[in-house]
Amino acid sequence: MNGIAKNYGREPRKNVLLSLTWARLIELWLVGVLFFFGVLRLLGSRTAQEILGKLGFR
Amino acid sequence: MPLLSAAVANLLLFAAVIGLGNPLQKLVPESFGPFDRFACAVVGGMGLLGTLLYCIGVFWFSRAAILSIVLASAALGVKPLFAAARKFPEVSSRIKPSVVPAAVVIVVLLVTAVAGLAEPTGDLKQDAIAYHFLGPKVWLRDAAIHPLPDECYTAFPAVVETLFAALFSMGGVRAPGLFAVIALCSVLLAAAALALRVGLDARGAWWAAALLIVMHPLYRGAYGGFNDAVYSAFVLAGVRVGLDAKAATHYALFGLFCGFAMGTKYFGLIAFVLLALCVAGVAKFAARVGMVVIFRNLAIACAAAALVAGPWYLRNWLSLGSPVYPPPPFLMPYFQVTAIPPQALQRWAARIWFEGSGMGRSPLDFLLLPVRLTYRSANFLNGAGGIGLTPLAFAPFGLLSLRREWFVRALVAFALLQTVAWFVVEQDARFLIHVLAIAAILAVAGWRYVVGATSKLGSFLAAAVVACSISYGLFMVVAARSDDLRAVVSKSFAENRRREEIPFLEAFSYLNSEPAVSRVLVLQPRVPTFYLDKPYLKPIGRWGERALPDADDQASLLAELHRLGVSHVLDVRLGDEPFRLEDSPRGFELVFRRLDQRVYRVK
Repeated sequence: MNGIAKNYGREPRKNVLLSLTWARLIELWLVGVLFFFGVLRLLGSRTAQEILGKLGFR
Repeated sequence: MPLLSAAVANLLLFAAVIGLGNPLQKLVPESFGPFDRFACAVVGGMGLLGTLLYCIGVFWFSRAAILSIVLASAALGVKPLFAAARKFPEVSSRIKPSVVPAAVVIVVLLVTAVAGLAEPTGDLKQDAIAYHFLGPKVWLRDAAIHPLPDECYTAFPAVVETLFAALFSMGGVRAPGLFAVIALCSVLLAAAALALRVGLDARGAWWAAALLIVMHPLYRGAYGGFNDAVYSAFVLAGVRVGLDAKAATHYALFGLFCGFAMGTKYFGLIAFVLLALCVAGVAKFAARVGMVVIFRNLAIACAAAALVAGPWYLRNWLSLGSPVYPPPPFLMPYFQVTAIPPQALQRWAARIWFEGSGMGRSPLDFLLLPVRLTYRSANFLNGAGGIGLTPLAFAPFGLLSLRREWFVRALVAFALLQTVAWFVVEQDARFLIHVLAIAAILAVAGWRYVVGATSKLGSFLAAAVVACSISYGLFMVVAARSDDLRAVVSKSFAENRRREEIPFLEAFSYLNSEPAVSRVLVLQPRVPTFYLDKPYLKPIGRWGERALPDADDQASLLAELHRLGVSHVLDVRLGDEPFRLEDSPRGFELVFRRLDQRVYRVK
């Protein structure tokens, strides 16, 4: 009731990060580990290096 | 036939290892199961055999001596092997294989066994050719183990290299390559014993072994003359025994394992100090043992370690002027060495410091290590190929789930201290194998935790992490050994490889086949004398070692050749460096010539 009162009758906003469960955080962590593995493998490939080189990133 | 003799030599060596290691089982803590005891016997047996071969080999290292020691030790191993066969159902029930990880381990071991039969090739950039195999070859020729004056790295403690020498002698030039299988098995056994102690079941221990064997620093440290896998097996066995030690005999065994590690690499000295700290910490805070008893037990461990490692350091001190040779910069003021000029020592130390810098030595670099070792492993020496994703993905959760265990706390403290020492001293990924083993064990524990704490999506993601790690690691292992595999199955490929990868092959073939060659003077320091079957004299080594007092004065050296017993001179052109001798030198007859190779007979 207090929250509704302070927000002028609307539902209080939820903090997305705080509302994450421990299980969701672990899953996010694993996604991050896999994502960086894939991205770095791709960026490390010769084709990607050539493209990055042409774009002036090397 | 060469392949068969290599295999038989390794089998004999393994039987000798069991024979010598079996009595060590009497020293292990009572809480150890049959599998722990077997792991201790195998790892300890390797250390004992290498040390025994050295202690006798300093005075007598003929084939007869080697065969006597190995066969006598193998005879001791017959009874324990039969006993182990009888106990196999009991031991195997403790380590009942899980299909996927067991398949991964077996595939890697098979690849290693076949590729290990390839003949060693390469130039001085290969450590095996530069010193791991060179020392044993010269020791056998001289029938005595001694540091080579032209290669200071042959003064390193060499428990594993003495085993290589025995294998060369019994099974020929291919036998030490096959030893990689025994090296891998030893470190996996030690790691699995640790995994079981931490609380993993047999399935978990197999997964830890599978994750570990596809980590490229570990795999690289097991083949091609490297001794790092065996070194890490000694350290892990020391961890296993030391952290559970209660009685004096346990501490003696702990000291023996640390002594074997010190007898394999100088880094064993650091590992022993750090491990002793952790063992003392466990005794003080977990077992509530008094300080007097702790010091007494550590003194027992020190005495045991000194007993097996002392001969290496004493030999160096007496014959070369420094127990650690070549001496690192902080020891240089205290130990005067004469065989390497001070400038050459400084250059060597600067190069080691530079090459071992990894991606930096700042505190931020240290904090970033887990990420960098996972994703940018190629930036560390021998790190290319990576360690997989599992340590980064799961080990923190493994630590979280096991944080209340004293054993795990001490294990992690040791891993952390060891990583700090590695980070400061030399960041070569091979020197971190035992820490990677601990990380793999924690990763499996963390994987269990993740599966239990998350939904199906979490389990699926965890499986993907494991699948990526193992498939990528397997790919890197096979890719690393593809040339060796081809060389074993294709004679034409092996011949082409010899021609391409062995520098100055024609000159070596001439010198090795010519009966008149009694001793060869090698003028260029970067000639890989491993391929020379005749005695040789290299006045200046690749790090600037001086094999003779007047090594820099080529004219006076050439005038002394008859006195030195030199019959031939090998002169080569290497890179930008020209031939050392002028065309048609007086007193020499040119007997062999190629574009970049000349062999002279001393008139």
